[in-house]
Amino acid sequence: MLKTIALKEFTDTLRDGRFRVAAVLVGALLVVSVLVSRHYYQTVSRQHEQAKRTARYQWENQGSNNPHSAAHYGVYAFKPKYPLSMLDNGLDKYLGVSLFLEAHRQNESQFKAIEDSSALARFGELTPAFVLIYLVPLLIVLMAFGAFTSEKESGNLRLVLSQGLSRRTWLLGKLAGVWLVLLTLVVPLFLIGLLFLAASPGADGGEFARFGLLALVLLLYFAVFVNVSVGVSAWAANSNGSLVLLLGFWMLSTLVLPKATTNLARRLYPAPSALAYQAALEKDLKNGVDGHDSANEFSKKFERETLAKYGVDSVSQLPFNYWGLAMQAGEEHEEHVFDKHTRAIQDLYRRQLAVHQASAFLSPTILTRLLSMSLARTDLEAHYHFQQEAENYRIRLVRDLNYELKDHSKYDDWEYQVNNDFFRKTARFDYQPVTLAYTTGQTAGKLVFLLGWVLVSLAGAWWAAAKLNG
Amino acid sequence: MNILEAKGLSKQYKDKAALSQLDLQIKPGEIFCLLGQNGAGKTTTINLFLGFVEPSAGAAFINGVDVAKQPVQTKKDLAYIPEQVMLYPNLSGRENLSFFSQLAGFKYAKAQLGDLLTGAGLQAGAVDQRVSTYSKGMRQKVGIAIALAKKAKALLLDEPTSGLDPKASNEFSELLKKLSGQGTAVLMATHDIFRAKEVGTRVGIMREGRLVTTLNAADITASGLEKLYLEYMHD
Amino acid sequence: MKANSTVTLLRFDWLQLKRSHAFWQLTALLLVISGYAAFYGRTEVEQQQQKIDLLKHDIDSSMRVVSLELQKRDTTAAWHYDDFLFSLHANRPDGTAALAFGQRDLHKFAVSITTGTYFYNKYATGYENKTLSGEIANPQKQLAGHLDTSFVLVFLLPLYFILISYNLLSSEKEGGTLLLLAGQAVSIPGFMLTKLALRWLIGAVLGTLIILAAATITQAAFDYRLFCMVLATWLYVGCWAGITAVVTAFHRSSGFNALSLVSAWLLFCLAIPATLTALLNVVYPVDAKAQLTAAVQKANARVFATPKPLLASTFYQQYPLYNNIPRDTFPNGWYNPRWVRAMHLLLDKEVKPYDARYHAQLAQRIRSTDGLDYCSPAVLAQSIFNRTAASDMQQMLAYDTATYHHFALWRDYLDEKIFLHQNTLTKKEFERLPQYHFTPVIDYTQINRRLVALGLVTLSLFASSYGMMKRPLFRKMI
Repeated sequence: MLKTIALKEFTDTLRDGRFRVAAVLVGALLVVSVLVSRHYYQTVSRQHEQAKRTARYQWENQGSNNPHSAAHYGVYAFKPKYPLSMLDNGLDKYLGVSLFLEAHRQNESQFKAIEDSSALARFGELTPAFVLIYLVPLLIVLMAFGAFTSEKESGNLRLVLSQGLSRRTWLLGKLAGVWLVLLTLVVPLFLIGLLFLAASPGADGGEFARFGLLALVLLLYFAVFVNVSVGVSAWAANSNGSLVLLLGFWMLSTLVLPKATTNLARRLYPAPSALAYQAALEKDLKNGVDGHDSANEFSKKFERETLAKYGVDSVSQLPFNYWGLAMQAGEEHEEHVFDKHTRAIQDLYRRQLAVHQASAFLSPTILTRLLSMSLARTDLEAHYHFQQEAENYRIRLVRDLNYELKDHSKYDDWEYQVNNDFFRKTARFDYQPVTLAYTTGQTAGKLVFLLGWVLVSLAGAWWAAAKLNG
Repeated sequence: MNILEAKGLSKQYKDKAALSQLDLQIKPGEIFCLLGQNGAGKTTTINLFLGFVEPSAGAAFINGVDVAKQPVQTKKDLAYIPEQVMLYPNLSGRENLSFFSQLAGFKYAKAQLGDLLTGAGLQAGAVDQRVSTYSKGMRQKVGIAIALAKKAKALLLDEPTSGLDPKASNEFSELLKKLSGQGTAVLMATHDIFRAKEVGTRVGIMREGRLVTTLNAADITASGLEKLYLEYMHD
Repeated sequence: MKANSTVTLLRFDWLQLKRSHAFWQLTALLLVISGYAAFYGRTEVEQQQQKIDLLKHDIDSSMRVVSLELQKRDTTAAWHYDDFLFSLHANRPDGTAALAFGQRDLHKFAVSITTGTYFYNKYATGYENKTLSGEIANPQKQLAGHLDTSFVLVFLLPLYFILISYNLLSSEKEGGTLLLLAGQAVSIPGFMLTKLALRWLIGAVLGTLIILAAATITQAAFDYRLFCMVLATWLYVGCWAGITAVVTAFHRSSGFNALSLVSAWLLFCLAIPATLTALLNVVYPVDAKAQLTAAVQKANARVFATPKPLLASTFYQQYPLYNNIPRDTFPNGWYNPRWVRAMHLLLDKEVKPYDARYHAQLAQRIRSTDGLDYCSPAVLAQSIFNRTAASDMQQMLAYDTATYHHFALWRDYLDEKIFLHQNTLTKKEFERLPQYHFTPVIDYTQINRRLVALGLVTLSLFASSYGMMKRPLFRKMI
């Protein structure tokens, strides 16, 4: 029985010219988006590789330099682009890609692509995620808004119900029918995506697992829209009402709520002004050892403590170059201060995101987008991870340079220099990106939330179908 | 002077002649009843007079004006009641009547509108209710009122009494006779042989797009007409 | 007679709309979102204004220190190691900006101008001068975009219009009333256009109300700019009325109309802009920025590491005007003003060509994007709103360029004191420190061109729909 209904719906929809046009359009957009994203990914990856090599080359060939001056000279770290960013480039354009690592300070990432774009970019960007998360649900709405209302309007409802068909079997049949069409459309696209992924260098097992999870997330998301659409169709009096209602839901879920809730989040957890942030940072920086300022009270205290520790009267009697140690002491204080302030902002953003995510009970799109960005590693957490790793590397590099000064130069010998051989041996930044385990830990809650949406919407459709009456 | 006139009026659809070579003249005060089975060409004839379809050959004239050439102008002189009168469900009977008669260029006072509706047989209590609550017969009566309010020279009726109870049908026949007395030319498509005989001045029988015979209603009895009709329908 | 029947049509059409619950529900929803949007815009503007005021306060108090010192001593050091002499350079949003916040959230809006290296501060570090590199904003919010009045007008108003108009003729057909109407002396194309005109009027009036209410809430000036926005709204709703007219002229079912119109909306508001954005990245990549950042780092390291006598000779070769002290090799010491200034000047001079290249690339990209506005009425309308609100990319670039000019003015004034007047600044010179106010210059030619384009699109859509309606149409209808 179920099979009969599902197959009837399937052939009905496939024969519908409107659906065919819409499906071809969505398919074409998806193909274009994949090609364009792939091109962009390849270009940017190439640029990054090149920039990364140039940066390291510059570092290794800076010539003879004082180790601490070299720490000021600094080095760039580049955030890698992941193959799945082809599917969802998430926040990539709104976050910088390069990070300048130098002594004394933790910098912000630079080079935000969005700063180079006009207002056109704010309309959204055609990526596979854009098509799958924003357009396919609309296609589902268009497929299913008349599922039951058309039966009501043509008077078939009485006829079919009089055949002794149970309302719930009918519902399941309708759902299965929509799914058949949907899968016919998206399964080939998923397979094409898989091929593209396989053809991308740098796609490892983790990337495929992420792709699988992303496909699962999308199917759950589609399930929500299928359930809601068929449910509303069962509930609404006529097709027009059903269509208006579903379009309203789509618009709120994809357009209005994501904007409204990020704004609400900012109102609940306002960020400090850059000026206040900077002032607080500077205040904390002053309350500690300053490697460049020996007159600072904390620097003096550190000097006294060091002298006491080694039992000598003056820093020149120490068995090493005191300035190297003092620089490192200052560095550690600065690291601590920066860490505190950066974390404060990160936690603020996390709280804002939590508000955004909490409003997902009205908008499955918010959840799905967050999940897809996490899986593609284009979300805030992946960025923070990169920032943290780069910071760890910076700490290590600056420490190595300061200790070089401390252990191998004489006190007050500011002319002490190391050469390119030394720089070649300094640590490299070998970034290990966010692991799958980390991502799944981050996303499990959202996945359950989305599953909840599927179940609740199914229950709603179930209830609406039970009330169907000729 | 003919109010309604068809000259060699024909309508050809792809492989089927819906109407062939119709010649017809209806003078003021005449009631012409068209009898025939479904698909005989009655509705096509009315649609051609209304300008809803364009003739393949020949022409329909209203008050001497070619309908196909001046479809909007000619409608000023005619009123039309379709088989199923559909109205704006969110407006009351009075508001619907007011709307359509204003479109026809008549601005009636509120009381006049009410009188027109009750005159067409609508219960006084229903006049200000929304049409969404009306039965089919009530809508039909509003349709009649709309036609009457237009004070047109010609009246085109497509099965106007379907959905009316016998009493209302009878009242409608009286109305038609009154209008004809005032000089209105009426073309009515109907299945109701007895009603046709009763109100009609002339009766035409149509079959497969042709007007096969025309006779004066006064010249024949109702049962005679029925016998003649069945003869024509029988091959 | 004709005018009379038009009035009748309008009156009774409005009567029916008035009695439709869906109409009022939709209107209420639109107005609620509009209200939210107005307050959203106001908050955005207030936040930036507050931050500018905060910076201004900060600058004022530090300038007051110098001013007080000058009360006592009449001269002070022109170079205070960037600690006391600042000038505010702000792109202050006004009430009108709240209606279309555009690109303002992504770009700098307040800079405290000081002597220093312009490019190093701008491109190398985020912290060194946070006020120069941008504000603290959650990228997730920036990605989500604005829910401001222009969003309501560009995205939601057309949807509202579609929902009240998609079945204006098809419902008459489906409800059966078209039959009675067709029996009246009314031309059906005229009938449809009258109904459409009423809905256009409702959309335009609602849009105007939304703009005026938002302007009142955000305290925007009721001036020509606001008029431009109102006009753009009328024409934009006109475009959608034209699209609706064309779709209606096909004489198909309500379902067909709804699907076609929603597809058109999707196409113009989402699909076309999104596709163009994606293609732009491919056609106009901005790669000069990567070279720029590398150049900054290299130049910084080089000037920093150059021994002082060598730096001096290079510097005076390039800036002979400043060489008024014979054989000045910059005395030793970190805080030597001439040496630091020379270093910064050389650094900036070295980086300037890279910056120019990046800006040229960006300008090229923006110019090319300009023409793309005409690909969709939605993009056109958004562009008009952003331009009138001075929130467009051109304005952001103009502000950026002005920042450098402001900086150069300030730098040259103080450098003259540092190099030629023994690093002294008199009270009189302090009072004459260069002032610079950035005022956006709105390009009305561009705006008018876009308004005309919207008008032409509307006209041609109506003309073609009228042409379609003139064909014999009732065969299918009855």
